[in-house]
Order: sequence, then structure tokens, then C-alpha cells
Amino acid sequence: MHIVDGVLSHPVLITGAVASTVGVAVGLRQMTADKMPVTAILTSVFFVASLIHVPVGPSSVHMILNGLMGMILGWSAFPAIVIALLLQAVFFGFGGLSVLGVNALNLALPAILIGFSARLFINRIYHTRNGQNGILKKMTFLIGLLVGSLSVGLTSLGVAASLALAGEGFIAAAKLTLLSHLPVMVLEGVLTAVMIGFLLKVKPAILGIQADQPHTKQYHSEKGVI
Amino acid sequence: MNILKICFIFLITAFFYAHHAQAHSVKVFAYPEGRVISGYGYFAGAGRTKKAKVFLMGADAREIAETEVNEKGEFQFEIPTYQNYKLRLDAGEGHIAFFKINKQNLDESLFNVTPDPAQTGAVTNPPGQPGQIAASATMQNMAQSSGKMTNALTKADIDQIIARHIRPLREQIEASDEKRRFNDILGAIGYIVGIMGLIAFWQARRDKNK
Repeated sequence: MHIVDGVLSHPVLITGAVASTVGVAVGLRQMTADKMPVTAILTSVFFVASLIHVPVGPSSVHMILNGLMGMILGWSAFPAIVIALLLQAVFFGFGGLSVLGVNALNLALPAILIGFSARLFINRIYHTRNGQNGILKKMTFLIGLLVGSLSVGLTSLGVAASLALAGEGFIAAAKLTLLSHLPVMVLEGVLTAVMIGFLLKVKPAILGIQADQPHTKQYHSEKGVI
Repeated sequence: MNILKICFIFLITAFFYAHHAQAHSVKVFAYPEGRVISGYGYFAGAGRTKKAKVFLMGADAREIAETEVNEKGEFQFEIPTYQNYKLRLDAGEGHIAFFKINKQNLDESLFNVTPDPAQTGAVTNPPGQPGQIAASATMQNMAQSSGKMTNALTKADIDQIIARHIRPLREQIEASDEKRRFNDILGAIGYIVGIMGLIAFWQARRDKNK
């Protein structure tokens, strides 16, 4: 999943670097003091998870967990991913410094997009009548599965697109990256589903769910307004 | 905070795997034996690359030859001239590795071509790989002294014997360089905590100024 130095062309590298700088700036602005410990720990988790790899066919793949990061951290996933990738490049020679922006963009953008959509969706259901116990309970696993696997899938497509811009055919590159990341998509889907299910039970606020908001139907029905 | 507990459990579990897992980066190792460069590609800590293309490049960075690795990840090139070489292994998906072979490690007499002074002047010697500096210096000294004392055949023989004997050492050095150390992982996590601390400090100062 980490593209190394010397593969991509200069325009791709520069575009990636600029876009990632913007992402990091937005992420830092949104990183409040109470979010910081979670961000630090998820950065560490992402850093370590990428070190555990599974050989698949001629290549090898590793856990990414960007879906979970996007879901919990939102825009703050950007600085978190950049920090982890920077340290991986410096300590272990994963990826590289010049390609850092492109790698961060490929990982963070799908995470933020899918994380944001999933948060919105879960919030909607949560605040419907009986949402917490009924539909959401049944759908949590499915949502988590989609968040985990789609994030990895989109990241694979991003990597394929970056490689395609460097000369490799997009379809061929996309086939290869998607195929080799299929096991990771399944694994991450299940892991993200379990994590999200657990978080919804014990601390829904971390997924952006504000329990008992005054403007929700549920609040009003409980207070006897509706 | 429960998320912290879960993440800590994950981190601790991950550590148990970290010592024998790791590395996603592709590497290539090669060594000259006479007029042939043989080598292999591997994913650091994850076995050989079973499918990859290998390119042989000369001192001017132009591709001279191209081959594919076999099932064991091995490849071979016959080298045409006495010069610095660079190998590029492409395992697809952006996995690319380079390996330099200094001409000092080649036996000049086998090529029977005196290097072009203009060309060698223009080409800067690439820095030697770790573990190669001492080896190449010794080989050069021995080659020079043996060149004075004995004929070319004996010198070539000595070179080949030395190359064969130091090969496991080179492989070992290469492998230990690639080994991910537990300390590195802990150090990196320390860095993450430190960087977050810096961000917190910076934000606190910004808020205070407001």
C-alpha cells in the first residue's frame, strides 16, 4: 500500500504533497484537546498495524485500519496518518519522504469520506424512534463491514490511479492491488464492524453521536412533547 | 475511556506478532561472480518475491538488460563491460528496490577492456553498501598485489573465492539491516506521543493568545 520513492512522476508527487498539506492543516484545526489522546493512540495503532503483514500470492499485504480512523477521528485522521507514515519512512524505509503526500492522500481521503458518510448515517438512524435498539443494532455490523472494506478498496484504487499516472496501466494496476487487498478488505471489514459495534454500546459519543439532543424526535417523545 | 483500552489491547497483541512479522518493503540483493551478477528479490521479513521484473542498468542509468525472477525469486545477468552497475527490481504495485554493484567488486581482467577515462571521470562512484566497503577495499588490495605477483588467472580465482566466501556475510549484514527492531517500534510510538504533545502545546498557546 506504500508506494516507494522514485516511482511516481513529479506532478503527481507535488499534487499529493499540496493536497496532504491542506488536509493536515484542516485536521489540526479540528483536533481539539479532548480528541488528542484518541488521535495519538490511533496513530500508534495504525503505525503498528502496518508492520504486521500477511504474504498473499506473489505480494504481501498488511492491515491499514484507515476506515476506523476516519470514522473516529474525521479530518484529524489526516495528521495522524501523515505522522505514522513519516515515522514508517524514517524508521523502516516504508514508502518514502518524497512520496509521503501521495501515500497520505491515498489513505486519508477514503478514510475521511467513508468515515464521514458512516457517521452521518449512524446518527440518522440513532435518532429515529427506537433506532438505538432496533435497526441500528441489526445494521451496525453491516455498516462496520462496509466502512472497513470500502476504505481499503478505495485506497487500493487510489494507489492504482497513482501508479497509472506513473505509466502502469490503470486497469492492470487496479486489478492487482484490489485482488491482493481482498483478504485485507475482509479482515478489516470484520475488525471495524466489531470495533464500531462495541463503541456504539459503550461510548457512542466517540462516533459523533450526541445522545438525547434536544432537537431530536426521541428526546421530545421522551419528554412528552410529541 | 474504553476506546483507549481496546486500542491498548490491540497494540499489545500486535507487539507479539511484531518480532516475526513486519516489513512490506521489497529488497534486492545481488553479487558478482566472474562475469555474472546473480541475486534475488525479497520482501523484508516475508520471503522471496516470486513475481518481479529485474532491470540491469549501467553507470549512465540506461537499461542494459531485463529479466524476470524465477520461482525462488532469483535472477542472473551476464555483464558486458567493466563499469558500475545498478539493479532495479520491480515487483509491481509500486514495490521497487535498487541495488548498486561497484566496479571495484568486478574483476577487470575478465573484460579485457580498459575503462574509458572520460566515462569514469563523469561517473561518480556510488556509495558502497554497508559491509561492502571493507570487503571491496580488501579485494582491491589483494587484486593489486596479486596482479603484480601472479598472472591474471590466479587473481581471478582469488577474487572468485573471496567473493564466494564473503557472500554469506554480506547476506547476513543485509538481513540484519532489514530486521525491524522492537526498540524502533517503541521509539516510534514515543515519537507519536511526543508529536501529539507538541501539537497540544501549540494549540494551548494559540488558545491562550486568543
